[in-house]
Amino acid sequence: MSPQVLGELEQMVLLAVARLGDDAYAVAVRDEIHDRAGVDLSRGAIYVTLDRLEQKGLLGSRFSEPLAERGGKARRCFRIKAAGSKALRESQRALASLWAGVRLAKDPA
Amino acid sequence: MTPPLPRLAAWLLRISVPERWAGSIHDDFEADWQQRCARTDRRRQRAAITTDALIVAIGFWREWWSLTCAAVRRDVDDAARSVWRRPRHALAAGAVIAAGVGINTAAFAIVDRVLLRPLPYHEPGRLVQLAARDDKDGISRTVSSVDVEAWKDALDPIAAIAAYQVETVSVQGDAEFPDRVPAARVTPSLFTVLGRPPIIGRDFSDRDGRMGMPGAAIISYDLWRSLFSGRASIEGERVLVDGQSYTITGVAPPGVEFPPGVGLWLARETAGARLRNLNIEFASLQTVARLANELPIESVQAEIDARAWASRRGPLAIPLHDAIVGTTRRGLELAWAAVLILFLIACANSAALLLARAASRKHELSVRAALGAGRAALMRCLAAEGAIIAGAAGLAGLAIAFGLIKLFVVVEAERLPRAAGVQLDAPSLVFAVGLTIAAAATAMTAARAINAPTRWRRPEGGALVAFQLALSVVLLTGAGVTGAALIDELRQHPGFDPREVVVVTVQPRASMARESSASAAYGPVLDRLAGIYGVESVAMSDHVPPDAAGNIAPIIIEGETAMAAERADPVRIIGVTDRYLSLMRIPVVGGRGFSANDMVGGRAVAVIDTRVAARMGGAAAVGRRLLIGGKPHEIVGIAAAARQGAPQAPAEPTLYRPLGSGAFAHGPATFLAELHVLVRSRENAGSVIPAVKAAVASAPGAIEPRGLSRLTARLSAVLAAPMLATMVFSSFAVVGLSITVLGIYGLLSIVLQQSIPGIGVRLALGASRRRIAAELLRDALGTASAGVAIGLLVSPLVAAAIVERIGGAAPGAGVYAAIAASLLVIVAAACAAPVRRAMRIDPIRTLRCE
Repeated sequence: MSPQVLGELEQMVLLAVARLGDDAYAVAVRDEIHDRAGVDLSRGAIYVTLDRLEQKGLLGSRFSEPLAERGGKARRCFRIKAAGSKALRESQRALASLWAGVRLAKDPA
Repeated sequence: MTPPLPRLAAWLLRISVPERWAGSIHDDFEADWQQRCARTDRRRQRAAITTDALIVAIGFWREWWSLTCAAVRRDVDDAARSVWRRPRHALAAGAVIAAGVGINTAAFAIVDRVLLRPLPYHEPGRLVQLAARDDKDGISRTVSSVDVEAWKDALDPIAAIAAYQVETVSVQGDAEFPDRVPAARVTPSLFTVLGRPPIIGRDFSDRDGRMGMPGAAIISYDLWRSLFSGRASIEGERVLVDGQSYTITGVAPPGVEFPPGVGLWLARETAGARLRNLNIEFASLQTVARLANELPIESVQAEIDARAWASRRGPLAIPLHDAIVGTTRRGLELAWAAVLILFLIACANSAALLLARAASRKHELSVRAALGAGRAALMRCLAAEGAIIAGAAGLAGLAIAFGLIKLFVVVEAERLPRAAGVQLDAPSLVFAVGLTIAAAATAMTAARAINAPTRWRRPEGGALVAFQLALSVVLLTGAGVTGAALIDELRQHPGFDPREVVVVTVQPRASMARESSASAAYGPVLDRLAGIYGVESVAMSDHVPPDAAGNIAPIIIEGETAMAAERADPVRIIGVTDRYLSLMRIPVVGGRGFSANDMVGGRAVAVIDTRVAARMGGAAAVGRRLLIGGKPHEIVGIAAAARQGAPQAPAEPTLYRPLGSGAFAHGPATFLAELHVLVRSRENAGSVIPAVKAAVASAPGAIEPRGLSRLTARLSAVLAAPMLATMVFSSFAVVGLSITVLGIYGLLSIVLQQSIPGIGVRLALGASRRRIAAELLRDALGTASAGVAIGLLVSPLVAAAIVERIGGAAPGAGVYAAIAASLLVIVAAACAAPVRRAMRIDPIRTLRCE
């Protein structure tokens, strides 16, 4: 069976979730991607990607303890699953293999 | 306190975010909104968070759409593969749906064009026909000029009235030879009444058609294109109509043919002394009138009736659409009902076939379920199969409809009003799509078989079979009633003997127009024909049955008042040569027939039939005189009644007069009209046809043969129309019954396949094969009997409805018994093969398989 191919956005979201550990909720994931990769994603793109990754079984989710700053409401926190880690590694390997031996011409400018 | 999330944003999140998020996105937005509310520019923040919510909503919708598309694509791929692998049931179901959709779409196109579509005139709801009424509530659509004149000024609800009379004329267009064209002599007001003035040239004016003025003609769009090459400069050109010169004043808009089928309008006048002076040859008119306001027909009639009429009752106003469509409406409604029944059978049948197909795939579906396919996915796949089959069948149905409509236009265009315009247009296509969706919805119900994958859902299959059989009984009853009405029609003797008579239709070549006598033109040909070996006699006439057109006009009997003459039925006037009556075997029952001397002129004589004689006191009519077109004729004989017009039409009173006194006496003007040479052979007409052809072809430059046919063939060609109606009903019954039988066979085969293990076990335990076969048969016949019983309950109502519309007699109990018995026999025959297979089941093998 061919390895599960991840899109660029999916990779970024999975990596951000992996970096954030237990504190990976949607807004934090978005901020993490913005801080680290400099990419400003819309809120809709983050929610939809998280939802899709969870449907694919790459992410799991749980609700946090109720938070006072949210008016006593809980956050939905995501956690990377084994399948998610595996998919990330496959993607990394695929990209590395593609990059291997590539020499790009220097920018004429 | 923080205000709640903007309403629009909250609503967008509510309708787009999947439930599995359990409100957490909404909570995120609320937390965000709390922070935003701390800022001063509240309005901007509100817009920003609403935009955010919209982006989230669009994201989830896009995701849903792409997932759904992928799933549908997968299902359709799976379904197409599955249909391809097991095509038998799918093909059968598809063929049934295609037939249903095709026949129904064609029927809809016809009904839509003929019955539903408004007439192509301005505000057609305001157009009526005025019919004369007598004191006994008798209605006559043909009225006299006196009536038209009286109504013109006296009726307040009528804004304008026009009168017309239809006849067939010969028109000399651009071609070398004149063409025969249905024409109408109309009052100048016709196009004003219709509200559709000519597109080229001008409408008739009041001056057109007056005595002393040159004749004026308006031609139809089609005639302009075909006979006059669509010339833009047509206005003012002169055209020869029956040898007389008319000026073309205009071209009617496309589609405007009133009365239907007419290609040429000649201006005539109703007012004035000319018509009052009883120029009776032209006095059988029909009317069309425009109402001042669009009122319900009842209130128009009430207004007419409220007026005090001096001599007789006021006219009856009939909506023009009803007047044109007339009795056709009933026939078409019946045919459409039959077609819809067939569609219901087709739907039930295809559903049963697909249900059977799904059930027969129990093994395959179980394997797929075991491999992880969910029930919903399997149901989706089965539904997709139904949709694919119905969709393909819908396309095939459109092709069938296209062919049927073409066929219909060729066969029925002459007979059915407005039939020529029937085509597969946008409304018909929408209807076909609707039918296909209905068929697909029915076919997709087969997916429910998945709910009971381990057991055949017998009650459902049984109900479908019973439903089809009930509808088949109704169709068979319809076929029986229409067939009986046709046989009644066929049994009526025409009053002449058409066997062994050959008809040669001839038209004088243009050069012959200079001749002035019949004998000069036709004498040599008639002599030559009479000399052929095997020919018994030869005659000529200007009319041949069953042509409905012809010279039908009122006559005045000497001593009768002009008014009485106008009220009497018009008479068909046929010009004949001396041997005509004996050739046609029409007996002369009083006085004498024509002699050769009558043909050469001198005293004008006539032979009337018994129906005209009845008006003149029977046998005493011989020796009396009557006026035809103002010219006195002496009655020398009375012939037996013969049906000269169409077989379906009521037989008109008929008068025969020497051909020389009509067509030829008026000189070249009417000389160009078609005439018919009738040749009776002693034995087989076929044997003299080659010699007749040769004799006509070698006639020395005299005549232009237009066609040769046997009289019997002409008669059966006209009967083809009612025969077609019966054929439609009967063939629908046969098609319906065939697909029902196919369905029963399919269902029973599946039931049997499902029951094989059970039967094997019972056989192993000692049950007799005969008993098992009897049980299977009893089950099938029980279901069939229920269906037939339901059909028998409904059928008398259907038969009564048909009889009310087209006449004939309701079938008796014997007919119903025969229908029921034959259906049960057919069902039993359909069961035979599956039951025989059940009898051959090997119990040991079956048990080993289990």
